[in-house]
Amino acid sequence: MYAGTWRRSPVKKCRFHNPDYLSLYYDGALDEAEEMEFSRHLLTCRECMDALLQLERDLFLMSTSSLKRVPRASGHSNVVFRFLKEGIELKENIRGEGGFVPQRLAHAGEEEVSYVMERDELSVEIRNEGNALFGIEVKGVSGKKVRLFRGGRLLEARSHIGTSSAVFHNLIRGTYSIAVNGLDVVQFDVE
Amino acid sequence: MKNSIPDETIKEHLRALASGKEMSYPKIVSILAQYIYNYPRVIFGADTDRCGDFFEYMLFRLRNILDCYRESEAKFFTWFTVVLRNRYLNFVRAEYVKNRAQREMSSVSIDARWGDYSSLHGLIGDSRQYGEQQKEEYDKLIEGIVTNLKDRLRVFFHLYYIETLRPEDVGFLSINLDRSTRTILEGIDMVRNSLTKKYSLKNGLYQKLGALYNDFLRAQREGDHEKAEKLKKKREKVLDEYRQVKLNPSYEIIAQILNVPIGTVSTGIMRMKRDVRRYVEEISGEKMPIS
Repeated sequence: MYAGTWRRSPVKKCRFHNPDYLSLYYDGALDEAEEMEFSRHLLTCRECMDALLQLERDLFLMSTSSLKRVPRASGHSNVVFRFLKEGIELKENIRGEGGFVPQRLAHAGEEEVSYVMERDELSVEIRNEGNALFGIEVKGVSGKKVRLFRGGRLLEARSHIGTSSAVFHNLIRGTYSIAVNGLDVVQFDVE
Repeated sequence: MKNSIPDETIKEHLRALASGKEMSYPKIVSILAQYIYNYPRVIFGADTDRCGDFFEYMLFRLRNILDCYRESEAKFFTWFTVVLRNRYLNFVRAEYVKNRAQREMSSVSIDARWGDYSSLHGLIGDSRQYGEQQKEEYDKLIEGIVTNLKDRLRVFFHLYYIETLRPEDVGFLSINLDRSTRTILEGIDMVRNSLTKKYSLKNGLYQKLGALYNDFLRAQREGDHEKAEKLKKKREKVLDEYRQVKLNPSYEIIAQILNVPIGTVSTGIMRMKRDVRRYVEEISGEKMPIS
């Protein structure tokens, strides 16, 4: 008796059954001759028809369901700050380029450092506010909704119509993330 | 598709990545993260643990996947959704092999009883399954109904009970209505769009069912029979709620798709239901309440 090993099916995979072809057909981007050929093929190939039907359903469900935020534990945050006597310091910038960069501020005769990250038309600035507190300013959010989360929970939500920046003060240590119009902009830890 | 992220935005990042601008990669990850993380939950009713595992599984492979992308007229998210399904199935297969021994040891008993259904909708309204034994019976039932209906009434059956659609039914609609498969898919999408709120409600309940089922399995594994029994009862209650949400489209939308008067649709659906009920009563040997 044949037992213990698994063998790949000898049936050859359909040549149309690939993401490129299926997505082109679904979005109506094939040329007329190819579309006709694929339409004919679909009537005889259960595998391709099934994939298309699933695609229609998946796209519908994904676009109409409310999506949960990706939790911090999923390894999505890559910036770590820490409080020192002198202020706040960037400890780790795992993403390297494109992450936070220090910016010197002349503040009441003393020099202080804040950290700025720029992404698309947005910029996020982290500033020390003394007494182990810090502040965040998100610029370029005119007409957008900004949400600030700490430890995965919504801390503040603001709809900015007319103003170009959202400022959050007196924040304590924790894992933070900022979402603009539902999209995660950045996640970071402050130790 | 109705994704909130403009197709051109992600394509721009992908172009930049392909031209060697590594800074685009974290941006792409940020855009795709929520979509990837939620995919198993929304489509398969998976719990958050599994969503997290799948997310990590994808993060390891995402760069290679994106390298395979060739820009075309098709939307990126359409392409990515096909890829995501394939990857999720691979992920589940790998998990299945890994956990086989553990699974074989656990005993699951969630009953699927035909007798509990009190309406046609409850019986055939949804193809999502909750117990493994039920799936085969359900497929047999749909096959029986469909082969016993006249072609004209079968068209109404497929559009009215949209969740029961199988690949061969799309083929049938395409031939019967003399329209391309893509046009049929657009029609199906139109029907679904008209039911957005109900889908959202139903999905919420479906996810709750998934979570309760997982808790039930955990309680069973831990030998906490009292808790398992409580969860089973709770699950039955949610299942009842779930069944009560009907995903039947309006006659207007079906009339629009078929390009026929509403009266024709109303009569067609009435006759279709009559024939389906007759068939169900014949195979079950008992009368069904009218609904």
